[in-house]
Amino acid sequence: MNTVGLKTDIYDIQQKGNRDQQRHLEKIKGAVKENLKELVANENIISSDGKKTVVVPVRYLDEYRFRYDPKIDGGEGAGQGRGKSQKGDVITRRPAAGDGKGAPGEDHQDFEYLVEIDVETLAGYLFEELSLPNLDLTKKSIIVNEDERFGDRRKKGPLANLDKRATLKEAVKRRGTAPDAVFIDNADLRFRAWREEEKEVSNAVIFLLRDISGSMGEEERFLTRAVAFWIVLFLRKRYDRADIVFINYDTEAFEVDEDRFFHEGMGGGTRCRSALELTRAIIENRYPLSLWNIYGLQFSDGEDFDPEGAAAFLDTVLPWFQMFGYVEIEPEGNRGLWNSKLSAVYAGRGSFQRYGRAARITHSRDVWPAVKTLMGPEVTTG
Amino acid sequence: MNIEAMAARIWEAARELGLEPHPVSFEVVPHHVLYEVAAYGLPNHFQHWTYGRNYWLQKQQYEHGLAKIYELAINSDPVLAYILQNNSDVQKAFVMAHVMGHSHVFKCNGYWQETRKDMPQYMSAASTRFAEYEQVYGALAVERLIDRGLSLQFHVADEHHEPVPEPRAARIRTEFDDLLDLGRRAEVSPTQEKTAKPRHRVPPGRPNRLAAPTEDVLGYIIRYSPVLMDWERDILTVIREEGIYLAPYYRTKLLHEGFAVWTHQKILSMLGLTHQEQLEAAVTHAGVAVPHPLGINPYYLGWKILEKVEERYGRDEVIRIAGEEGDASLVRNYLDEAMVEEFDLYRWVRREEGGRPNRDLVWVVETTGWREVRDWLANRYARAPFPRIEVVDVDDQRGDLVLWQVGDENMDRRYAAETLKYCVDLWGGDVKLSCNLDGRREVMWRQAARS
Repeated sequence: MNTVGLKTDIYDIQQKGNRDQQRHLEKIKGAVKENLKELVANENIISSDGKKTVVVPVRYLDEYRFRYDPKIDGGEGAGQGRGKSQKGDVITRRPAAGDGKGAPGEDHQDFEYLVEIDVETLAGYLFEELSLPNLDLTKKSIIVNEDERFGDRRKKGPLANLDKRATLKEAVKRRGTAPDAVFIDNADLRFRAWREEEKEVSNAVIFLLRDISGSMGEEERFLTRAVAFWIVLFLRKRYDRADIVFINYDTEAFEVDEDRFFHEGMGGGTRCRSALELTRAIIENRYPLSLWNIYGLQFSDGEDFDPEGAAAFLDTVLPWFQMFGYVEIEPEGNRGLWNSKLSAVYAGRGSFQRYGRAARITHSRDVWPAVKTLMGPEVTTG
Repeated sequence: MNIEAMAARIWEAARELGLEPHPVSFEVVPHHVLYEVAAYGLPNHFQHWTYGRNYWLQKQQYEHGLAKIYELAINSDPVLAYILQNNSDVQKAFVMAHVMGHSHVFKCNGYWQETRKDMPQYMSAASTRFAEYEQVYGALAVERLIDRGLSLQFHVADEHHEPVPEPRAARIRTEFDDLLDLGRRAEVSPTQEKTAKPRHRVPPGRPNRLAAPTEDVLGYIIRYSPVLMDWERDILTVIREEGIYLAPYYRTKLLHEGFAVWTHQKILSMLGLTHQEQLEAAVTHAGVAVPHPLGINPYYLGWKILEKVEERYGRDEVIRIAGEEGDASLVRNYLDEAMVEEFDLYRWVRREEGGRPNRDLVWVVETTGWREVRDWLANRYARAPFPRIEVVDVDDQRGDLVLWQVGDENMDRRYAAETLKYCVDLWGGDVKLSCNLDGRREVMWRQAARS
């Protein structure tokens, strides 16, 4: 060892790296919470139908310390070429992304992790953040639910279901007071039976109405999906049973499946009264008000042939709703919310003022405020 | 040749070359061990999530083939060096020869001579104590403290050279000053007078009211904070010791790597390798010493400069440089016109071209003028890697800690604000920092929670 030593050892047991790595991952997941506002419009999550986990970006977790303004660094530097570099030579170029800080591979500045997280957890964070009120769960239906367990015992039953252990127990109990009695009496017999249970189930139905006339492009479709995703997820969490009814409309309204709901597009005019009429008909036929909590979300660009007619009809159905959300999707974003034909008329209606909520979306950053407005704490139950 | 014989032969060669390295203890390890030690900086380091993060990132880079660690040498006596198990014999010899260069710098270079040579033992004992603190005070409390300590890890100075000044005695401004002061002047702790009204004013210009301002911010807090418990002082002291131990890395990166490459080239030529082995060594060398178009590869530039020095002034000069210079002085004293041209060094700037939405970032050679390039590099190497912060004052009345940024480079506002919160927690009172933000000198003030 005075000069140079060599040792080899057995390193089967991995030591602290793993523990600290785990702790770091925990902290990353905590950071997801802080990024919620950006994540609500994250495409991976919105299109995560059925999947349990999604991969979301999280900013590099740095330790705080005194450091130079990162804007200073990266703007200049020294480098080494392969010979004969001249003033003015272009070394490399790349499209400016975002705020365009930093040289390639220079720093962890804009570095992001991709973290896998389950949608449930994420939704939990989100709803915690929204501090949502207790919605009305009073409308319940009663269903008879057969428990999976074959656990109940009865005195009558088919011999095949005889529970021998329970029967012997009964016999032992009886003979405890009368030792000379019959070994097993008919009264001792016990049979297994299915347990029957009555259970209250809270029900909600969500009507999603979408204006499919001309102006809904890819971007608008995505924004629609983002808002609908969170609200549906929320209601599904709150209610034991939540049905979704998808309705597309232009001048006429159709009940469609989910895929068509988001993708169908048509040119031409719009008459949203048709959708409201269909909604009313479906409620009357399938969702008795005594058992179902009714929610509605209407996505529209605000154009309508007959806004007055729609509004008048709205008055007749709106009192049935726990909440009716009107979401105006307007990509140009140069018009105020209450300036479109439809929204202006809605806003003037007493029934909408009471049961309605309105939000306007022009950009993915509006998704969070919209969800908040639609589902936020000031929603009282109808 | 077996590997032990090779280690002995390489040691001999280093001595023949004129090196005086610390003895080296080589350890042949699987890659996860190498990456773990690299992430923590020392074997048996105390635990913290930031090291876990580094470990994770390095492992990922390795697994994706993006970056590979060839060697890892730890400054201590003996030097601890790690070699990858699955490297070939030639690669192992290459790493051993390379480490001889590092070991020489650790032992002989002025920046390194006074660092703790028992750091691995010291740290190992500390990490055992930290684990006990976790049992007693909770893992979260320990983690929070380490978060705060690490934020100031490089705002330390070795007390042997810069004695930490005492805080000024608290002064109470009444007509009975002299009476009240009798016998208690020195005992008033800096934070006793917390209830006084905050004064939103910091003296204009550089306040210089401590006998001598100190850059040992962490040391000052450890010594004078009235809120720290013994175990907390212990943890912070270890972090400070490590900071002092690591500081020379920033001063000697170019020299260290350059000299290690120079050394492995020399030693490998002395080992009598076969042609096949020479070829393999050359390939490994070429993988390490390559120029970078947008940065300086210290392995390459450091080695190239030393090679030129040897050509002109001989081998002894190279070995003298390894003992005496740092990065800034190496560049300042030796990089000349011929080298800048031959190594094709330049200074670049980044520009934006085109308007939205097709904006491009373009990196362009701004100058190949040797003086501009040399001066820029020398200044960059001389610049502290972090803004320099001094403790300049402890406010008389309430014991506020007053910090001052030396120099005029802008600091990151958000990071400064968060770090200041940490300082407040450690100091147990208000902390003020005068620093450059967005081109102006400003005072940031974080108040402690008042009970």
